[in-house]
Amino acid sequence: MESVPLKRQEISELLKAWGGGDLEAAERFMPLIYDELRHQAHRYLNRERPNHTLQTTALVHEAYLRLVDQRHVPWQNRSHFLGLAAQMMRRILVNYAVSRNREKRGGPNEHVELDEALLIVNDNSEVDLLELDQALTRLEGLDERQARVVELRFFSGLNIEETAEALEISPATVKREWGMAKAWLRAELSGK
Amino acid sequence: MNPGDYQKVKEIFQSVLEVSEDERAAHLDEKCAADPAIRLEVERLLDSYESGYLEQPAVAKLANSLGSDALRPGEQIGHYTILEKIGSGGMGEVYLAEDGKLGRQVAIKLLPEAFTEDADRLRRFEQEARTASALNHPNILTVFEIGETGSTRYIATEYIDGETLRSKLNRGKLPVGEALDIAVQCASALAAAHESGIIHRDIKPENIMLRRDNLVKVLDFGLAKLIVQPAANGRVSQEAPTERHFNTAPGMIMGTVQYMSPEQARGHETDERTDIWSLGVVIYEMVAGRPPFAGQTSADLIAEIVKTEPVPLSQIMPGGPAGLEAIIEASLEKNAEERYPAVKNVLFDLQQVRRKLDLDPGQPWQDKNLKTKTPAGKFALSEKKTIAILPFKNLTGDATSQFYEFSLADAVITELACLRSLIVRPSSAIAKYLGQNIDPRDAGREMMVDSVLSAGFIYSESRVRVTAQLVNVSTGDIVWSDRIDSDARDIFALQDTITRRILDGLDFDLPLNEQEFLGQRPTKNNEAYEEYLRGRDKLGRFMFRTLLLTDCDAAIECFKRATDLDPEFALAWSGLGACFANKTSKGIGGREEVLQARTALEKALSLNPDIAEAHVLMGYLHLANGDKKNARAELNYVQKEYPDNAATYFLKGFVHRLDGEYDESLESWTKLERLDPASIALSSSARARIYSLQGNHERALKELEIAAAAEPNHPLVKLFRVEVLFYSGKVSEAFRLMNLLLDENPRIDGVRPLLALLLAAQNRRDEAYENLSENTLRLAYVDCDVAYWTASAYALLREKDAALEWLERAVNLGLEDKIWIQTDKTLDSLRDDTRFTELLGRI
Repeated sequence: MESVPLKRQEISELLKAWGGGDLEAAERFMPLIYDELRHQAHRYLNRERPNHTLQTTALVHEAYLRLVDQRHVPWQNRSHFLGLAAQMMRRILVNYAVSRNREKRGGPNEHVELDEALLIVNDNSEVDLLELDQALTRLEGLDERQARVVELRFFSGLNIEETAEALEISPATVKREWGMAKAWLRAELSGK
Repeated sequence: MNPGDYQKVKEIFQSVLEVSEDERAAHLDEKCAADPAIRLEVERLLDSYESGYLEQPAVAKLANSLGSDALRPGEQIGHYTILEKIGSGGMGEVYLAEDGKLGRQVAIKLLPEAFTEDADRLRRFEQEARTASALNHPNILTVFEIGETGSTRYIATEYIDGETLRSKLNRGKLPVGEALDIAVQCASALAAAHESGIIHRDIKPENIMLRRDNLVKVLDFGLAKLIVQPAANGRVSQEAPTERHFNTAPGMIMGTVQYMSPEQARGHETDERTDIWSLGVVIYEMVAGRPPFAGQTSADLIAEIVKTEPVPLSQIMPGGPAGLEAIIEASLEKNAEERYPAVKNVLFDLQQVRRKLDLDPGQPWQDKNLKTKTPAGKFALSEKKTIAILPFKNLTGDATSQFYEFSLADAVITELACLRSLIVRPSSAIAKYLGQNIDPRDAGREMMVDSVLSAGFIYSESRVRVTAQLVNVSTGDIVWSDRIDSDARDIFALQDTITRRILDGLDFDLPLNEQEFLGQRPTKNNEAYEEYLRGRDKLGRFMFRTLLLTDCDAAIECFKRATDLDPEFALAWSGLGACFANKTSKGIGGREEVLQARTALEKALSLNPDIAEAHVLMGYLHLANGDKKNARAELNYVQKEYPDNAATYFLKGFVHRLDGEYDESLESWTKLERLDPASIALSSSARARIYSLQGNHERALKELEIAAAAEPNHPLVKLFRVEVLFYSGKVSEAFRLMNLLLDENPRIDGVRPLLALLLAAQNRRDEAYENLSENTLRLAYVDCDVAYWTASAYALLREKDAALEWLERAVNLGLEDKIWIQTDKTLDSLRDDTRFTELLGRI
């Protein structure tokens, strides 16, 4: 990671600040996380051949672990870490969607190199990430746990068991919450 | 809705999911009796409930795209710096990069690791890619390097500033002329690759790049080798390139299946004819604007490819050139055996159609001569029977009799060539098969003849035994097969027996007036005949293969011995004359050689007035003597007497060019090519010179590319390229090539005046003069083109007197293309001189 201008300790500080509600902090290190994700993703895709499955959870974890000096972050436990990572992913993806939209309107574009990735996400799914994010924020107001499930499952790529572990609930509960959250989000996004 | 209500909705929603669909309404009635708003919300959620929704995590898509899109601008791979991504495909991402060592731009293609796991396969791919690239064919993309960094393999190739045929086709179909240009260049690339044993196996518009100047580049030779696939029938085929995509990315594969041949789709063995099929599909799509086969799924598409005949092109595009439809039909034969036998046949036919279109762009071409749906071997363009005699195989490998391989075949050819009612392919056409183990049918298809004689001989001290068979190219039947024993001292008797057996076998009623040509002993002296055959062997080597002066000199020695032994031996005199004449026409020699040639040929014709070779060469020598009148007379004579002799059209094309009759000249070169398919380098170069004179430099360069594809190392092809480049204003490029050419072929000193012209154009006066010495001007005294270059060089050097003197010499040597002389800019400094006006007036 020679290319990362910030030291691990600084990142950890930023992460801590963000955890404490400082949104500016997140803006500053997100590009770094993106970089690291790219690096890890490539490594994984190469290493994991021939079965091609990309272990997204492992990938996200590794990206964070490499970036963050854990001694400086008050990780309470693994579930705390997973939750934080999922929120981070949500922010990353939504941020890119925003910068993409900004570019479409012809405004200043600070994230040129990220457009392509976002395009793929948008093209392949029928989901508008910005709308989804807004709906998810509304869901938080109605049911905090369902919103966390969506973050972990959709934004961070955790499976049912991992999600259950992160939230310290049973897999069956995750399944139920996930099912309803999806139905609610789909209803919201389709304007029903 | 508030969190409390949401919890109620949750509870009811989850309980409803647990009852069966029939009972849901009742269940809802019971649970929501008190609160219609809650019921509405639950129903809304039930309507939207769908298990697949959001199941593909956003991060996975992001990571997948990040993982495969590995390089960003500024990143290093090997000694290349990535500049930008320029494409992606099933075979990997492509980037524009800069070569830090050489400072040039290159294209870098990353090979997906899955394709590079098998070391064997990788090696074969590398070998093929390098071999194809090493052909230096203008239409084959040059591979600079196949490299490796970490776990990533990449190919660095020449960067093409242009677009793929796919992206062009996305904007709609192409005009026929443009489609033909592209098709011809693709076929030319494939012909060269096939010649080296490389089959592409994945020809499709994505693999065809179009440079901005319309030059076509075929990409990814060898790449198909990297992919193993279980084919449609479940069997494992190592050949077809597409299956991996089959399973992983249905959208992507459709594009490729489209161009698969039936045998590929079935997972059968494939050979070069699979490329012919794919090229046919591409041509169809270019012209029709849609592919010939369509299907919703790849299985449907494969069924179409294997079973369905495409809609004829004429129905989609009425009024198109009929010849083109025939080419497509013969390329898209389901059964490879019924397809064109070799891509060079496709190339030939495409060129014919393109030329016809050029000559008469308004009229759709209805010439049915170009065979439609022709079974292999029926590509002959004339009603007369056609035959080729393959070099005789030296079955024992005995070195002393090696020369019979070519010369016996040559002698039979010469004897048969006297017959007006039969077309025999000239010796130039068979020279390339010397020492080759080729199936007679394949050779016959290549040379577009009905029959092929294939023979071998065993030579011992006093006896020769020839085993020969005559093969019908279209059916594969052996018409006859025989052993002919002969006294080793009487080779002519042997040759004559073979000739007669051929005529019998062809079921050929020889007209009475032609029977006299047979069996005439060219000499009574067997020893002289043997020397003669040795001479023919050497001359053939010189003319068709080596261009080595030592071969020509050796031939001269043999012919001289033959004429010493029998001074009445007309054919030997003719051979001797041919040696001297060919030295001159190949850039070696001068007045002395012309004189010697003339003496020998006159002697030959005085002994036997019916030697086509001698007449054609006499026509050429008349030109070298500035005697155009007699050159024309000779031309008229050979046109009348030898209308099926390829050499006739060499003289005709030459004379018409000198007279500025470009259309007639172009027609002659095309006719030459029909009679002697091996002459493609010669005829294409000749056409190039004419296009250049017409100012169509682009077309000229294309013709030269075709010539170079046929004979990559031929110095004359390169020489004409220099000329065309110069007249198109690319002086420095011409200069570089000229120097290279002279380095490689120091003996063709005679063309140095062209170098002088190039130097004069760059104002390098001293060096220009050095190349205009008495020694380098030897050829200029007998060759009007060289004389003209000399005049042009002096004109640029402002040496008016010398320039006018040489211009007059060029005109006297036959160059009477008035319009060209009037418009050629290199002569501008002479125009105000009255001598120039007078000279023009004389023409």
